[in-house]
Amino acid sequence: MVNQTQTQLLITALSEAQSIEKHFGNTEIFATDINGLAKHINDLERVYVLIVNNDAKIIYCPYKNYIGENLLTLLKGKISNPEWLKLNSILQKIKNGEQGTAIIDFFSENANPVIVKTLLAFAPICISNTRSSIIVAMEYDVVAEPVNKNARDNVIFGGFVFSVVLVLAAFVFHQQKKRSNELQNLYRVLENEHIKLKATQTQLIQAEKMGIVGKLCSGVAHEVKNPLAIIIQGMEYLKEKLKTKDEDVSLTLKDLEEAVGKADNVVKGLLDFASISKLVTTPENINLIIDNSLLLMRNLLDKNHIKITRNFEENIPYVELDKNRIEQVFFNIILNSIEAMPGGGDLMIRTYAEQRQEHEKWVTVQIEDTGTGFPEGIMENIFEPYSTTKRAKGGYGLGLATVKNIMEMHGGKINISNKKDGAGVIVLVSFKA
Amino acid sequence: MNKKKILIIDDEEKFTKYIKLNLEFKGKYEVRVENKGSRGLEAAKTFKPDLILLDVMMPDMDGSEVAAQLKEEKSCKNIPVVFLTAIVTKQEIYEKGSDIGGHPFIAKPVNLKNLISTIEQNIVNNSKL
Repeated sequence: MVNQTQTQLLITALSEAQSIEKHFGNTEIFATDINGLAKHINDLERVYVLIVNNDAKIIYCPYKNYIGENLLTLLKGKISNPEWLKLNSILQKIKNGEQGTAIIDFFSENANPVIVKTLLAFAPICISNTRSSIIVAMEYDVVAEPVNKNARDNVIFGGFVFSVVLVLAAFVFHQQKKRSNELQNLYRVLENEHIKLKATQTQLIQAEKMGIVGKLCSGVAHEVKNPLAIIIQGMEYLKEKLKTKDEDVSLTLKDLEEAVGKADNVVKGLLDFASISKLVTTPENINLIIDNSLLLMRNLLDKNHIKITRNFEENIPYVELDKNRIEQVFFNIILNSIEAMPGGGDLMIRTYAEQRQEHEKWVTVQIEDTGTGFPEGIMENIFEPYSTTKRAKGGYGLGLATVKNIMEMHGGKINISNKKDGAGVIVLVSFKA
Repeated sequence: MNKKKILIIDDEEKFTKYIKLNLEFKGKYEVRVENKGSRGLEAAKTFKPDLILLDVMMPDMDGSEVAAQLKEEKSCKNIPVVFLTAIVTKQEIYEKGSDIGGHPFIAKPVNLKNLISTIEQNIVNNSKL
């Protein structure tokens, strides 16, 4: 082995690294690092690389049959007593995870053993989450040969140590940097998972809450709407039967009809609010959902002289959504806009995708109207049930509360603000793609 | 002119009473009322209505079950059914072509004008078939 060329040494190191990788059943990183290490030591002649664990057991060595052996057992009889003590002290340092250098005299393995002066350098490394140490060894004379015999020993030694320490430093730094990157990546993954779990938990709590509210509302709706239906039909009957020209009677019937209409609106609002206990999500194109909502409301928009401007991003990423519920979101938002523009106006709808964090793409819908905007002082509570600006017109104050609930169930975000000039409202609805 | 026959199946007795009075008042309809799903099924076979107004939620047999059994019955399977329901959201009312199990629906409470318009629309649709 002493006579092997540098290339052979390198090939052996790499193939041994592969076999170690197999042996320890882990990490690509190890092979990569050995590769890097081998490149670094390419310039050094006859260098031996060993990796030992804390108990001095060899876990990497160019000689396959030494792997698994204890370094001390292997060297017994090949070293003098004083050197043996020195080696023990080095192994103690290795055990403590220290790094350093030393010169040790070994006996050669031939028939007439002579002392072979050997340079050693060692440093801790981490392999498969286990702390180990790398030992680089080199014959002192081999380094000295090509150098002028008169050159001072400390220059040779200094050159060798400098090279080896550089190799080790690069190796250890590389290992630690990789490990730190790995930990950072792991942290990011865990953080994302935590956020996802938190969102799912919120959604589940919300779903359960809405499930109870839903049952309650359905019951109330059934019990209230049937009497309302009887009142309406009874009034229709009276209208036909009386056929009177008495204005007071006509006015009374009209008032009754309006009152029933308002009560009906309240119940419808409750049903809307409560109808979101379960989501059935599929990947959806948000542009198509908006178009469908606009189609459903076309008559209402035309009747109220609302001009629509669409600015949709093409190839917008698909979003996991409950189509019907999200249509309900746009329906309520657009209905609010229509009611805020009694004399007609413009409704601008824009969609776009944006990268908010490294691994987070969001799809946003911006809806802008030219209506009256929300009065000051109400903005903080606009999502609260029964917080309405339309009570006089028969509003029931559940539209935006419903919108907020649906958005929360989807893990989405909604933001509503008055335009700076006060002429209208901007609504931003965002979903994680 | 032959009067169009309307069968109303709904457990709310007062509601069906006024619907019957209001429709018959128009002079165009002959109305029969049943307040139980099972009795409604029998009535559909004998009365042979041009259209059935069917409540969704009834105690003995719900509307969708009545509709399914009507479809199974040879003499009734072509009779148009319009559901009456109290449990419907605001958005569903706006949606065109919304239906319950393939049938159109009317949201309670309904005024007479909308009720007659829906009846006429569905009877006409049926006669075209």
